[in-house]
Amino acid sequence: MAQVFATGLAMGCIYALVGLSFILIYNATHGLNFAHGELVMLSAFVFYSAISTGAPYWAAVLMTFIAMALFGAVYQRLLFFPLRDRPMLAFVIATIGFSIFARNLALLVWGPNPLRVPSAFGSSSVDLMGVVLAPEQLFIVAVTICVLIAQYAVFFHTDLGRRLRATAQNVEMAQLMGIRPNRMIAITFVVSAVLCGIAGVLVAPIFLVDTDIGLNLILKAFIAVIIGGFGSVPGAVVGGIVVGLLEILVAVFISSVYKDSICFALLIFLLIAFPQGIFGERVAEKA
Amino acid sequence: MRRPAILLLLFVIALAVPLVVSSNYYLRLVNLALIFGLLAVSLNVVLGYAGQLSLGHAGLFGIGAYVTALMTAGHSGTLFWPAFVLSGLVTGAVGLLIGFPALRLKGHYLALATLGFGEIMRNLFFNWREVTHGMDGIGNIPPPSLGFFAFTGDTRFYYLGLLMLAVAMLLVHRLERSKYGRMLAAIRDAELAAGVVGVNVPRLKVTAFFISAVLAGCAGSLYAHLTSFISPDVFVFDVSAQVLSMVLIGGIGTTWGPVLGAVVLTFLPEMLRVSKSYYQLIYGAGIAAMIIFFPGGLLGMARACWRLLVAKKAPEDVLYASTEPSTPPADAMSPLPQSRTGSSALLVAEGVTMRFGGLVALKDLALDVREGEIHALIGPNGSGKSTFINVASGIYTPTSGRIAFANESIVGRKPWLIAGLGLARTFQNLRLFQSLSVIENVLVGCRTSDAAGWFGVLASTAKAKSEGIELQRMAEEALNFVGLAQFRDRPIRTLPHEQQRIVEVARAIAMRPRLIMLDEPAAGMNPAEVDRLIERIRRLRDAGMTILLVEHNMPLVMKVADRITVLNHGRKIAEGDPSSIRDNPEVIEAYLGHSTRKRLLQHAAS
Repeated sequence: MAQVFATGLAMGCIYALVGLSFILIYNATHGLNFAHGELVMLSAFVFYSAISTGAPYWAAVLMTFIAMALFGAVYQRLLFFPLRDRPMLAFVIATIGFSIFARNLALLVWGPNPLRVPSAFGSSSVDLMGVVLAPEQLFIVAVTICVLIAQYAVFFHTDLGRRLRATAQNVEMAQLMGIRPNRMIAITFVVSAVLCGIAGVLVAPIFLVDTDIGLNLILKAFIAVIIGGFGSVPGAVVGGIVVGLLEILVAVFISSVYKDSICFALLIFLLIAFPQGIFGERVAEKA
Repeated sequence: MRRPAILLLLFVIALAVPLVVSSNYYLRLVNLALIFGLLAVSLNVVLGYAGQLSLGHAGLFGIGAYVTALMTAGHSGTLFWPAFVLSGLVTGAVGLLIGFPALRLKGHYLALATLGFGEIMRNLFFNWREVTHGMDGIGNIPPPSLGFFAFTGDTRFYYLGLLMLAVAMLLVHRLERSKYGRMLAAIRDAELAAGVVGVNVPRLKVTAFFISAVLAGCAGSLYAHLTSFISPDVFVFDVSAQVLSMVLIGGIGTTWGPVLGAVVLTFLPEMLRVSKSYYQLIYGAGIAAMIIFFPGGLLGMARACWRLLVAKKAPEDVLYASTEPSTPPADAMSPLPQSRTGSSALLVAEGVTMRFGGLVALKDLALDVREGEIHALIGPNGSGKSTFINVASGIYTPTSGRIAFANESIVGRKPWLIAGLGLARTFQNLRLFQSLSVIENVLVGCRTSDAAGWFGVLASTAKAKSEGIELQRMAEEALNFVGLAQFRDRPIRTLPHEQQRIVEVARAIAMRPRLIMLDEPAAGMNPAEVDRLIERIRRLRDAGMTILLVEHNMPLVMKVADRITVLNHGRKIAEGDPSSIRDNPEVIEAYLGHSTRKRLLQHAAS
């Protein structure tokens, strides 16, 4: 049981990271990035290639992060920037187009066969108070906690963080205060892409890496942000962990075939019953 | 003149397609384009007309396909007809199921909920093996047949598909041009305003989902009979996304755009297939590029080119030519005959309290607006004036208290029901339907006593036609009354601020209300414009309307008001005729503060 719990928690942390990075872009731009799962997929593949060159683990991780940071900047400039003043839908479709592009690009570069990324910890296991856990899972949880602390520190205790939040809340006003919103949005995309890079590096050893991992991740991240409340950063994290646990509990105790259906049914139920989520924004149109 | 010619040409081309396209493979693609065209038309109803984003249309498409497959697989093709109808109806019923929760959701929430619906359906098609046979799919679905004539082969099927698509497009086109189309556009542009002009917002949204789902189900049925085999991998998110791209790339909210998009996106991969493994790559990038570079879709681009090539003379700019109200007969706009109430008080509020969390916006407010008067509601910012209008028009439900309009309680009633009783309003910050023209904005407010229903509109019955003409006449009357007749076909955004405000007034009086609540109509107006406004407000009263005026512009209030109620911090502090209010010490204090009032008093004494 504790093992099931740990697996769910670890997956939940991954969803939390994806959900968090998704929400960062949403908060800064009100854009829904439907290619967000593909960002994680690409970084998992990049990490695979980096590891395959024989580079040490840390160097491969670093390479992935640098690649994702560059990618985030380019992605913002090419896809978001031209659409910034257009309706939400335009960005949604453009990112859907990009996700088709990214999946097929990965197919061409890395081939159709799922790739196995070796674990940094070998096949050892950790005995924690009588419970046997995979070190991978502990690592995922630890990294997620560190990321959250770092994210909080940057956003709430640095000047850059204040500017990022100001831009997210009111672009025009931020501009009048001397902040360059386009630069802040670009930084947000870069940060978000690097978070996807972290998620990609973390999932690569526990999943088989193929071109379809992105879709599953983004769907679960959607549920996570809905549960937590759209736009809320702590909500995305809590929601992610809830989804991870729920998924594994449903799979173990109810039906592994219908686990996704049950998760989505929950999503729809939550949207209707508690559209504001745990920490969410107001939904109704203001009079 | 030109339009029928183009339609005829298109018709001839469409008939000739199977004669020109000899390869069976390409003819199959043409048929798929027809079916996806129907699916795109279906999505366009909710997305383009009602402004509701659905990412689950593949699920609806799948339901239609499975219903027809389960009914007809291995049987005679004559079963197609009942199966086709049933596919539409079953899918429509599911559409209602999504439509109701969709009422509570907007924008990205709705997008994610419908995405979840699509994923659930996909999961069900995959895993409910007893019924759907899972990945094995269902085969042996017969081609449709009429007795001894079977639509076998792609050529025969083409004409059937073409007919279905043409019928769907005709119906949807009629819908778009009808009062319902305008109401949907109103919901899309400004939902709150649509409600207070009398549009039953939830019913219309659900109906849009229903119509869209029926069309998607019919498309699914046709698909199953065309391919004779279905499996779950056709009804996945990618298809929803593809249909969405078709609508956007073709031209959202237009009759022809979605079909154009479907044709282009069905054949685009074929054109790219020369590059073998790269075509999906180019396809994905192409979708993104088209969105970025052609905001209006292909149809928008085509229209822009047309305008450039056949440059028409721009209409004369008459914007500032005349803004004086014209003088139609004063009784033209009198309120619809309704049973007169015994008492002279038309709107009566008693003990109305409105709380937002800890904030008390209205506190135990009593107010009565008498029939035929111009009643002004004034007070400093934040005193609760607009809140009262929002409560009286049904946008907020008061925390406690009673409000009666023409002796009927309106507390807890929906805005469109209150509007139906003859209580209209305008908004402080303009809420016009931006995508509609001036007259279309006003038309949304118009109602005939003998309205044609959905069937009448879709079948274009004589009754619906005469209703359309009657509505048009009413809207023109309202525009004449406020002096905006010369701008009738202008897009809203091209009007200056003053005229936009007047369009809101015209939209409100088109409902022939007994009471009209004007929320700061003079905001942002210069003195000359305010003078014209005063004239207009008096004419409204002369036409028989009662007016509740919320305003900060004191010269205006003092000139037109018969009675004034003053609010401060949500309480009524004074009520009376203009001169008594002007001298009321409490009112002066509320506006100018205690010390200023003292100084004024001293000044007066010395």
